[in-house]
Amino acid sequence: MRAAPHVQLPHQSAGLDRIGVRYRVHLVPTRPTSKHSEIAILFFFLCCREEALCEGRLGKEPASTHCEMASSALFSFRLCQEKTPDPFYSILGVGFGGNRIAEFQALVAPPKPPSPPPTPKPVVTAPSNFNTVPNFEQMHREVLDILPLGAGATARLGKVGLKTIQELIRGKFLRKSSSLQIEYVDEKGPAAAQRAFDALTTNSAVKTEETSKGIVRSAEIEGGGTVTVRDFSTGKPPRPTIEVRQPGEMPVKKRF
Amino acid sequence: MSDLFTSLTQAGFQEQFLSVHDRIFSGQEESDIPDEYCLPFVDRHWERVLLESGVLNLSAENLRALTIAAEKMGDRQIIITDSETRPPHQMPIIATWNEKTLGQASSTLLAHFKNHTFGQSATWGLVYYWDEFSILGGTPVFMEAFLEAAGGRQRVKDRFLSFAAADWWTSVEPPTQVKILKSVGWSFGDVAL
Repeated sequence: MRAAPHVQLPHQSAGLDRIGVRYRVHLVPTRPTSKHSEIAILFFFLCCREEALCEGRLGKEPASTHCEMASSALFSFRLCQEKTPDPFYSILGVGFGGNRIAEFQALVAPPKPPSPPPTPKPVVTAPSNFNTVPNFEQMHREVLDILPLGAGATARLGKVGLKTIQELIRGKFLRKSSSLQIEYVDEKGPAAAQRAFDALTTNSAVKTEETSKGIVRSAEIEGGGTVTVRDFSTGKPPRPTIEVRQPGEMPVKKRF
Repeated sequence: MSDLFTSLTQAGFQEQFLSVHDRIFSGQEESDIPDEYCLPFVDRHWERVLLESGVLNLSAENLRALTIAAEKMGDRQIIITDSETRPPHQMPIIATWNEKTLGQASSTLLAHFKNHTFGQSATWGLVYYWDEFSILGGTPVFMEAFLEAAGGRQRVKDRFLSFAAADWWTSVEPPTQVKILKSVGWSFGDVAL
């Protein structure tokens, strides 16, 4: 069985907040080594291009637990990979050391199937998974550089802008009472909800909370308040929802 | 964050309030089966009623009634804690019975999760289900005080049913609504004409 790959972070982490620096991500087929514990990971989350968030973790823990957090990211990455055959992953953010947070994005390209040999050699029998399961060397070669967002500029993560939130909550509400506004948006499904939340929080610090039914991601809003996204609800079928709560305003739920 | 309510740490909550909390709440609301998730209290004999929204967004009428009943039980402060997170109780707060206080807390992350509200008397509890409804339950003395302050049992029921008939479908599909109503002995046919 092929070992699941994970992202190994660069050791020269001090340079991560320098503008324009390019970073390389390596896929390695092992669990985290002791090297991970030397890296001060504040948070680390991965996202499939077409699927929901794999893992988010805002580091509140002291440095001694950083290795554990790296393991957590690894675990989720593996889960996600099992969920979807699409091998594109986005690394949405990684924070290193102290309060310095660099935000950047990386694409891990899908491994190319090996080229067919120029002349068939019937005497060689390929294993049954030869064309579908890449080996480590193939995957390693396909890894792309991490490109800082915003034309090479790193961004300090903050809160979701008020204007962005106002644009989100503008809509035709099915329910508009004194206590809540609910709207069904045209796009449906968890992936649409997660995409909308990602777009909303491009430059924001995102936290995740685990529940028994899934993950809830959240970000703070400029001037107070919080916005969350979840793929599930009490009822069935589950209704992926972005919820906005601001001081003095009625809560807003966008159902996807 | 606020002068109006105090955030508690998970450890602080566990030390001060967990034993009271666990005497009230069964944790059944995490079940997927309506018959089970509508039994969120340890004491299954407690009368239960449905309220629109959670404690942080209660209507003024329900909030007033809840305040009166809780204060009658000696609860001048309430504890609100997240019950849905794993592990739970990551963002509990302690607050006074005050609309402004609760309004302030309603924009925090706590309000985005199913949550439990209770007082130290351990005579009542309110479970917010995130899908725009709560179940309030308590001892006979507490419930009598609440229902009296709220204008009577029928009025509490009517208020919820009129909300359910008009708007609840945006959060909970009708078959589940019927089950939730039935769990407290109500039905859509109970609406006073």
